[in-house]
Amino acid sequence: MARYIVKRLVWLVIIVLSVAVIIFSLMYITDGDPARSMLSLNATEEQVNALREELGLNDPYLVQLVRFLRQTFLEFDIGTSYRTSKPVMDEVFGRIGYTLLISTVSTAIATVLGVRLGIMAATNQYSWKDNAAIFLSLFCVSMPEFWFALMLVSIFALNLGLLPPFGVDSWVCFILPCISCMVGGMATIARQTRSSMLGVIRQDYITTAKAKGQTPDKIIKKHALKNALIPIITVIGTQYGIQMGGSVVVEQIFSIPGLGSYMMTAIGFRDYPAVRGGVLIIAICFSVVVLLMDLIYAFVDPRFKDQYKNG
Amino acid sequence: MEDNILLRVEDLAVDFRGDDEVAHAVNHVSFELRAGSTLGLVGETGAGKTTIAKSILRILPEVSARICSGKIYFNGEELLSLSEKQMQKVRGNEIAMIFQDPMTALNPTMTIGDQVAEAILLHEKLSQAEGQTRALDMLRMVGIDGGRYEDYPHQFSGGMKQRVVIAMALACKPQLLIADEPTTALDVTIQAQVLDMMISLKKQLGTSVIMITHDLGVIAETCDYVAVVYAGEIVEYGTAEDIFDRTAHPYTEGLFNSLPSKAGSQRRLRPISGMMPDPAYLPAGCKFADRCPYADDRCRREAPATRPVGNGHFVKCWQRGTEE
Repeated sequence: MARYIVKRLVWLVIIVLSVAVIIFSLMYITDGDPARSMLSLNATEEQVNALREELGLNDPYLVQLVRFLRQTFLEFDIGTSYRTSKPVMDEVFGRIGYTLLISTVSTAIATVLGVRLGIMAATNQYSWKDNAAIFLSLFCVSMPEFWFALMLVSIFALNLGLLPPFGVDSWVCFILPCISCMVGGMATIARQTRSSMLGVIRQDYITTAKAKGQTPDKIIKKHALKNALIPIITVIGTQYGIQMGGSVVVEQIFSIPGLGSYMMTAIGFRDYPAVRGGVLIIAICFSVVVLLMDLIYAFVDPRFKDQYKNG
Repeated sequence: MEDNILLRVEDLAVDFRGDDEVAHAVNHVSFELRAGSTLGLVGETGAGKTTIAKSILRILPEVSARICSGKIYFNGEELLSLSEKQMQKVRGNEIAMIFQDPMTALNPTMTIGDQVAEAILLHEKLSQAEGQTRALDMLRMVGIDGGRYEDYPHQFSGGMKQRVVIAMALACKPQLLIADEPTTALDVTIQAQVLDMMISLKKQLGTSVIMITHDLGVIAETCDYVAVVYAGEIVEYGTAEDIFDRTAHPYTEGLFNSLPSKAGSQRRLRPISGMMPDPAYLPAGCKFADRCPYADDRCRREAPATRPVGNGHFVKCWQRGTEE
């Protein structure tokens, strides 16, 4: 098992390196000039060029790439923001807390509700409960996040006045953003749970459990759910990873200074260090979540444990 | 005589409802099982043997299957009229079942020991520890080392898994054991081992057995009584000697003719020509008529009644047996 984890950590480093190269190259070939954005509109061509020279933007692609990789991975410095002149690391860590909070809470709620909804649908297949669950999850999956978030604001903040429409001053401010981020994930998890459970409850070992005299409730909890869990965990992990990238729309609507809105501004400004730094941190978080999911597999299904033992 | 009967199935009929057709899987089957004896249900794949067995335990798929008529008396109690809760107390405790494919019959995410213990703890008021001790005893009884209690199904071979399944089924010392093709999925060498073990355990525990198989060899080795099942009907019923030595129904005859024999002169096997009728479109007359070399107009027109051939030996055929 330890060997497997080490192997996966090596992979994580390789993935992060590749992400670094790709995001650097993407920003390099994209139109737009950070030097021009940093200076005022009436700056002369000479001034712009001097700044480009100072930032090293006139160097050849490979020189810039190697410099970026060396700074990032050997000196552990992801640079200073062009826009704010503050270290990107500080800015990202100042904002990632909000994003982590919203993504963790909304994924947790989505998991609890989604799995329950999925089980209810699967155990009552073709009944009205199943149809209602299918309709609800289809609605939640296909509904645009921004629209739902605006509806929540309009109903709970503006009309009923129960919750604040934006801000981060107290925990109640996070209720609406978490709900907005949660519904899509909940629906996806519910749909995965339903189809996964439907596959499992037709298995022979479920009949065996029934033939033993086990109660329907225990058959679902003790025998079916654990066997249906692997694809559900995969979906939860992916949802969590996506949420960690920051939900731009939700952060914009609720004025939350999270990672998503930070990245949006940085991209618009061609703030290369900020974009690269943000993407790298998100990539690392995503990879760690995926690794954790793979380790959870081993606890859920003993066959994975044996597979990991063999490297 | 009457109190000797452990299980009596009367006029059992089961339908499976598909999207736009109804398959008549079991068509008015009746039989009895005496306490302590072994009844073989023999017939080809799709004849309805497993459906009969699952009806007794009431574990047919709820969505598609429907028991349309019949009564199943077990120890004088009618199983089909019991509530689901009462039925849960019967399953695994008084009637247990062994399934065809040991590869899929065990829960892959639970240790084999816990799966055996689960059956015991469900029906007996024991502590967790006592249940585990009992499960350990059961595993040893079927020849599995106690040290493997914490192992998972994927760490076992097919034969060993079937032993676990048998241990699980016998854990509560049921009065009736339904074995659904218990050796079909196993290697030939392992088949004999598992069968021998079942026979000795049956003697040891005094369990009555319904042995479902398409293997006449298994029937010869284990059964006292045999019911030949064809297209959801019992076409011939008698003692094992009746069936093997005084074969009456043309279908049973066909089954024997399609077996290679060691003793007799070498000859080509004679398989029964044709196919079993589609259970959604059963013929009006005898269901075997299309494949039967003796069939006449009456066979095709009129479904045969159950007719006696000898004492306790019955056949569903116009050409055999006598009018009652």
